[in-house]
Amino acid sequence: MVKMAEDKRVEVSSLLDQSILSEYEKIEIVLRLYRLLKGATLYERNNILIERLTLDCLQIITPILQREGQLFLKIVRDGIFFNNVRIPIKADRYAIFKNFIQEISQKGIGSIEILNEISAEHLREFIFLLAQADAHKEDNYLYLNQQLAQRGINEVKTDKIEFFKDEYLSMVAKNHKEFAKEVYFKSLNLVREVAEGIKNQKVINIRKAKHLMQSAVNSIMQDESALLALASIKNYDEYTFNHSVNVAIYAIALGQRIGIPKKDLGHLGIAGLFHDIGKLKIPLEILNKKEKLSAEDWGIIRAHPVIGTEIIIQMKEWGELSTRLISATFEHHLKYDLSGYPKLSRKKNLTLFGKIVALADFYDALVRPRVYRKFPYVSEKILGFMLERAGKDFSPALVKVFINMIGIYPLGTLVLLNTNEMGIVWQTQEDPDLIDRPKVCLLYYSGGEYRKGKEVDLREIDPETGHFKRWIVKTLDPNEYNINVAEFLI
Amino acid sequence: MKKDFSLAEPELKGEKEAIAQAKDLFNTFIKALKAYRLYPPENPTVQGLKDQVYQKFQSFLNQHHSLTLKIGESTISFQDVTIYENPDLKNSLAFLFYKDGLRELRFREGLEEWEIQEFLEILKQSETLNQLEDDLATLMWEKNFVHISYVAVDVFLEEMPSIIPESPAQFREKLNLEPIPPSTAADFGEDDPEIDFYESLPKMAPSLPTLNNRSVYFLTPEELEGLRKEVEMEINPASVFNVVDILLEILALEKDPQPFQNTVQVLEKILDALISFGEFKKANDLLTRLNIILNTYELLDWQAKTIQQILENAGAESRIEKIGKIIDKGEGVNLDEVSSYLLLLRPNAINPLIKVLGELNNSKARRMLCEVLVELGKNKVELIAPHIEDHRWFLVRNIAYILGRIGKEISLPYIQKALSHMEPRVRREAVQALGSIGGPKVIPLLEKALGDDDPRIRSMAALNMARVGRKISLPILLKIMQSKEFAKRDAAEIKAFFDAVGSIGDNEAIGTLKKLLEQKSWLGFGKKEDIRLGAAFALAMIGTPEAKEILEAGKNSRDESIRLACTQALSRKPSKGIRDLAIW
Repeated sequence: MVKMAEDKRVEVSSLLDQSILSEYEKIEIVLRLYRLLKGATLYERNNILIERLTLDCLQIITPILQREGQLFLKIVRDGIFFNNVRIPIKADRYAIFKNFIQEISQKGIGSIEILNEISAEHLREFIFLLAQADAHKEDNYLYLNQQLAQRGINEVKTDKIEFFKDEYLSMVAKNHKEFAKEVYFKSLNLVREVAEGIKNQKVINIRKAKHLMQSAVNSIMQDESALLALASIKNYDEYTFNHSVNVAIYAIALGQRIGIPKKDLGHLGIAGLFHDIGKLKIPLEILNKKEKLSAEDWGIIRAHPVIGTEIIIQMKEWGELSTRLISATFEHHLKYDLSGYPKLSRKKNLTLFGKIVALADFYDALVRPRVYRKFPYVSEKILGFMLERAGKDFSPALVKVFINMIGIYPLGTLVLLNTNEMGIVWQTQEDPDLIDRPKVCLLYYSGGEYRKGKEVDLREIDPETGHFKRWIVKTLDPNEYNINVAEFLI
Repeated sequence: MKKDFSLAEPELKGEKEAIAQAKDLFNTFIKALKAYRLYPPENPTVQGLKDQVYQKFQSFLNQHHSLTLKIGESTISFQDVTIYENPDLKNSLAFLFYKDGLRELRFREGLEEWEIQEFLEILKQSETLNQLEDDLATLMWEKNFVHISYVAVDVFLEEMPSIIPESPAQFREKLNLEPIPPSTAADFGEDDPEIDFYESLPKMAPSLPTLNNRSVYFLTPEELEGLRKEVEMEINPASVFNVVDILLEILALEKDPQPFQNTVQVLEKILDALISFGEFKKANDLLTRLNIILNTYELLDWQAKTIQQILENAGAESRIEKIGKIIDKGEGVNLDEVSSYLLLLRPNAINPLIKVLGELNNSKARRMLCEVLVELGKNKVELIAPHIEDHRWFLVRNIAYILGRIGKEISLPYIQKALSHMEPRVRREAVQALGSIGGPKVIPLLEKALGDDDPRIRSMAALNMARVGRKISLPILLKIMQSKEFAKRDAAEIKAFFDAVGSIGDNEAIGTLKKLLEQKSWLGFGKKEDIRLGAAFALAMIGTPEAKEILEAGKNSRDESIRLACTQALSRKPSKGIRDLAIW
């Protein structure tokens, strides 16, 4: 039966090669299906919101079905094909697309085919079946098709996902978070190794860095939240190593959102890891000085982009990768308007990698815990500052993508809810319209310390009042509560 | 346990067929790979084998949907049957995969031609991989194939000690709770490091604008397009050259010899790459900026010497040879850009450039190179002139041209040699060169050329003599023109001599010209006409009242041919100079 469906699909899809879909349709179909799918995980079938989301979907699906005769949505690696036309993923809608792909492919579904006009009832039924399907079950498509047939829903068919190496490994590594953790902590170790290697004038194993960053790219491409959550660790072991790994993660995640290809993302990760390599040559008495630094000290510290560039020139043959490492290392303090350092003898265009690493570097340095500071640097302040400095210090477009990626309340932010509950931001929402409604892990105090409670979704609506159940009142400084957020995230 | 194909007795016919097909496919693949390693990709053998591989893959995948190959240390197997085995690990394809961690390869239906091509390319590259940086697994990962996937063990990640904290307590142990030193603070890069921006930030930084105004972090269509373009530029292979800006900044900043030298080495590599890719505009920019650094920066002696050395090396023989090959092909090369680049080279480039000049087939490129050598050789005639003795006449002609354009008397002994060259085209160029060089010393040489066997050379010599020698040339030219033998020469040469005399514009020639105008010819009618017309025109060119008087009188001559010649000469517009003359 599946084979027959496949044959038919080939036949129909070849006819549809000429399919003309507007940009609007290509994007809206995914957005609306995704919203309905997410709604199905939160609400009952008869909820008014579900009804509205279903109608939203039909509004876009029906005209296409009438015009094209069918709707065939297929996931190929990290892309979505819609009636054989690849849907362009844009930075502003990136997260939704990514999560849609992830949501569907985790359930082992690689394609959804709607063969005829479909009623609201059937569409809703199908989406609920899909939402309820278990993750990591390769034969879900058989179950779904069977269930659809039993319900007399003949206009929808699904097929299994075609696995590629990376996805396959991720499926095998059932717990993606574990995989991300491995990548994160091994990256920390790698940066340490590199640092020691440089100090002892040993040859640096770039191949190892490449492998690690490939894993980081795989992890982020599958689900960026796992590594982004780990990047909220700021003071594990040596700050510089910790910081370098975080910068690599932010850079890859940001690069992914603007469509940098996989191979280049790997390079971006390595550039992030090595961007501060020049600090290895700064005298420790300055680097570790606890008192305020003098102008002279700063002068020495501010030589690190040049020193770093020279280290890279020495350690690596000139080529594509070294060019990128050099760009990121040299440019990460230059600032968007070139008013930073090193001072240039003439104007130059900043590279994209330089701009990305600069942004990641600045953010990570600013959000590190200020153990001895009274003022809590809540993320709104930092992101607000970055927005304000966009065009001077940072690329305005990249700042926007960054905020969309991090969210107004980044992963790991300690928040107070209107219910007087305290919690940690657990998962950001991919829909920019819901950027202030993340999932939060509630904390409760017991036995002299805060403990993890249940996870709540701030999109949840109280059926009685029709309003959101919870919302964030303000962010809190974890130091005031003696909470190390990272502990809850690992 | 793996079965040996020859001994295998698969129960199902289909399985047996699939195995036979897979084996056949893999054998063809190996042949294609061998060819790919030996010959360039456009070679017909390579193309043919590649097509065969593609067709066999198509046929297999259409039938079986996928092909999964298991990689062993020295074997590759399909459905537990060995389809390839080579215990000689040095030459084993299986080991090539295995050593880099690959354990399984899977080809899926829909496999495209470019994937086969790239896969072969990766395997070819694997021979020259820098083991410290790359491996097959990385190359495959980077290619992001759609229909080829693999399973690999990651020796690097596995060999790293496990340092993942297993519990919050373990995590807490490694937390660094020391106050973080200021050196690791976010550096605002402001000029006054005394200001603690951490302290002042809360006052200066606004909170994120209210959530009602979300548009502040929504990307505009222009921003989206801008980002798309930036990504495109970043992944363009030519972006590797962007690093030049940074390296030049390092040169300007660095006072320590070792990093300075390292930077210089990279710049030299970049220069090589720029030349190989035909990026002459960028190469030109690189040399220009090095010159600026050299001439305007306060450099230590060793720094200046090093930069001078790069500029010198830019004209090294190997680089010039490379440029020669590129410009000879002529495709997609902007010769103006090449010329601008070459003009920045030092005199050491002259000899290699002449060598290339002698080997070029592309005439436009030759012309460009001659002009470059004219400029580069202005103060280095001694480097160019000796090549006049080259055995290739065409190169000698070019050298004569270059020497002429340079216009230095020092070249005369060499030009003199060219004047005796057996190839008329060389002698002609030499005469032109003498005209360009000018000065009294060229007169005897041009006079010698007036006796050349080739009428065009004699004509050219006459015109150049008139130009260079003016009055001194007049008796020499007039003497020849009055000889009986002169009247037998062809019309073009006769005209050239009269034009030459006319262009001198001296009344001293009037008497002889009048005589020639009026003299009865003992030759045929045509020759008489040529002489009279030439004399009349020469008088018109002289243009003095005395000359005009003769022409006016000639208008009323009883001899019709004199009348006609004088009338025509009087009606012609005055000549602007020698360049307007017939022979040109």
